[in-house]
Amino acid sequence: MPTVYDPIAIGKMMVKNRFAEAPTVKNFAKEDGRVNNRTLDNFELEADGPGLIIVTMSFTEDRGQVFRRQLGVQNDKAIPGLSDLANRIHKAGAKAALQISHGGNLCSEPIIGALPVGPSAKPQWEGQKVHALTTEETEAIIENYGKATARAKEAGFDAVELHCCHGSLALQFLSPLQNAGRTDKYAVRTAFLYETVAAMRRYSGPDFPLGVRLSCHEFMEEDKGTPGLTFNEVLEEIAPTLEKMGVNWIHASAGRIGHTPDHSFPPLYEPRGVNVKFAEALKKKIHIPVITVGRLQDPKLIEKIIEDGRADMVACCRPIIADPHLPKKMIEGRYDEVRQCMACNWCLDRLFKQLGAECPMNPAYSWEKEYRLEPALQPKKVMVIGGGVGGLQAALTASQRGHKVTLYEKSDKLGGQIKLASAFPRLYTRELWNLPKWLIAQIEKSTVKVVLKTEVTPQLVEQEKPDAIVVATGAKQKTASLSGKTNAVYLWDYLAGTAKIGQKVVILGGHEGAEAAVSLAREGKEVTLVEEGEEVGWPAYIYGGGARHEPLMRYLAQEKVKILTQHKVKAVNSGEAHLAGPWGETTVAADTILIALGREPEDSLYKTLGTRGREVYLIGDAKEVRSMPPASHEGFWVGRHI
Amino acid sequence: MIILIKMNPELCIGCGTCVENCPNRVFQLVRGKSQAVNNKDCMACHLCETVCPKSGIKIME
Repeated sequence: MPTVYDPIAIGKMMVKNRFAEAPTVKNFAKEDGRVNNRTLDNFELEADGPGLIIVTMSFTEDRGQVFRRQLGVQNDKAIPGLSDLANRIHKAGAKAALQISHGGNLCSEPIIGALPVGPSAKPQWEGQKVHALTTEETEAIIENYGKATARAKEAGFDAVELHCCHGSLALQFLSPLQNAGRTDKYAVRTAFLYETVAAMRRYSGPDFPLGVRLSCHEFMEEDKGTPGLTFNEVLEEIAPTLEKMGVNWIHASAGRIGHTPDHSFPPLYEPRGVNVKFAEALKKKIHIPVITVGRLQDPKLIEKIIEDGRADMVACCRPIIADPHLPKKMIEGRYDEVRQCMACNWCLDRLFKQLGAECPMNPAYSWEKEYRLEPALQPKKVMVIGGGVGGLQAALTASQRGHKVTLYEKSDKLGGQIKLASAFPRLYTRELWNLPKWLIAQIEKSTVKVVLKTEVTPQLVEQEKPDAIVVATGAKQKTASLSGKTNAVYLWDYLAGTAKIGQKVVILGGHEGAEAAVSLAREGKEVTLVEEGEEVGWPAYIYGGGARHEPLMRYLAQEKVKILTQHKVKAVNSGEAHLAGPWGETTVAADTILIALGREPEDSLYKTLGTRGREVYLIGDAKEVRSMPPASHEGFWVGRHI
Repeated sequence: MIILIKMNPELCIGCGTCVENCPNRVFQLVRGKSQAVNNKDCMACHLCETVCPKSGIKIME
């Protein structure tokens, strides 16, 4: 069996190894979709290592643009910039494929300046108006995919991949839930895909490598209760047909944006490599190369997938955002230096806010030139207070610039809140530990002096006389005073393993308590989740577009957690919690109250220190309670600026 | 990095959850109990610790 380090032929294209950078929407091209320096530099960095770069979803026409600063291949003016991009990728040693896409009803009117289109008028989301494409309009769109392919070829790309996944137009035509009510040839759900592939082939010639990225299964049974496109159709009909048509590779993804995004961009709750099973099954059916993707950040996992023959190539999107040199480090045998993606999906949330991708693990992402560390003009004595992600990042970065840094942590272990957040007994949040773990390993190799079990006081600061102080003291839990007597514990006690938890648990706080509700229910407890507001499952660290809320809500339903929104606790007595809701009072059996009402800044030291006459920086949750990425980025900023 | 997979056969109920879920296929059921047959493939992702209904697995790094 080959290894991930061995070459592979995709059609007539020789790829030097089995690493692919998956198409990554970065959302920082120019406004008209043109290539800019930021795009060029970012890809140049990433292209050193992998055999193949599949360049981000590029829109084939203006009405197909989904993201504000998405890369475009919509007209011939795009060709020179794309040619620069292909050139940079080639110089770095990789082959370059361009992924082309039409967003269909994933697009929004404010961005495209027109109604979004689709196979029917069925909207993506409630309230959206969609124009149902006529036969002629559909044919014109298909021609444009062909023209886009020709442009990519002219620009020097070695191959083109068709975006037929995650909810784009090609997938919309494949989905029975979107393609309904047509009476023309495109009522046959596969017609659009096959005609598009034929057009791409017509415009590029018989030898030009073409691939298709498919959502192997839409998982719409989880969202609408009815299946959309199913893997059975992909396996038995679509993939074999594409192979017969001369498609040179299948890239096997899953899910649909806005509905089942946790299958398209599996968050940290999912096992690593959760979608490899699709590639594995396809490989038993077709003989063209199959690329797998999804939660693949560990070197051992990447190697084993290829060695076991489960896929022909491993594609990484988020893991390369987290560590642009993941493949290079593996090739060079520097396994322990790989900075492993947490699948926290901050990057994804940025995209769905229509902003540029960012990463907590890689604060310099896409700004590598601008954020290059400059040696400090004057090495300072720096006191960093707090060994969580913010403090770790600040200490590391400052020391890398030549400052003399001491990092103080009041507990016996570095890592801050993530020590707890990554430790749910029966909910997989362990990946969150990847960032502190990496930072701690770097700190151990650095000149930072670490002082544990030491709570910094103003007196200690006076004594040490630092030139600069970074206060990264994090957050503390909001307290609750409950009238009555019962076993009340806090969320952090549960996570630390020091709480005595009974059988009937009432959780106060539907946001920070949601994950605990799932974990406790899986431990066999009877769980009621009580929330004063109207929704649950939106703590500060679960981002709107991060594809974490959807699976969390699904787990709550699966574990039959009783959710009481718009309820307040009035009193607790041994064995019972008395709640008041919109329709009166309720009593719930409870032998444990778990308080998860959220957090507030732990800024008592900052307040007593005072900033007059001192160089003091306040970062992370101590400034404002949010989540890991702001803490990491603020730590990095401070480290760069002291 | 050395990875130790500690398993408690007394807690193991042979449900196979770890076998199915391990991304690197470390576990197999042997005579009704899970064993880390491919222990060298363990990448210490700790998923098995979380999915085991009896908390019978501990991964040490």
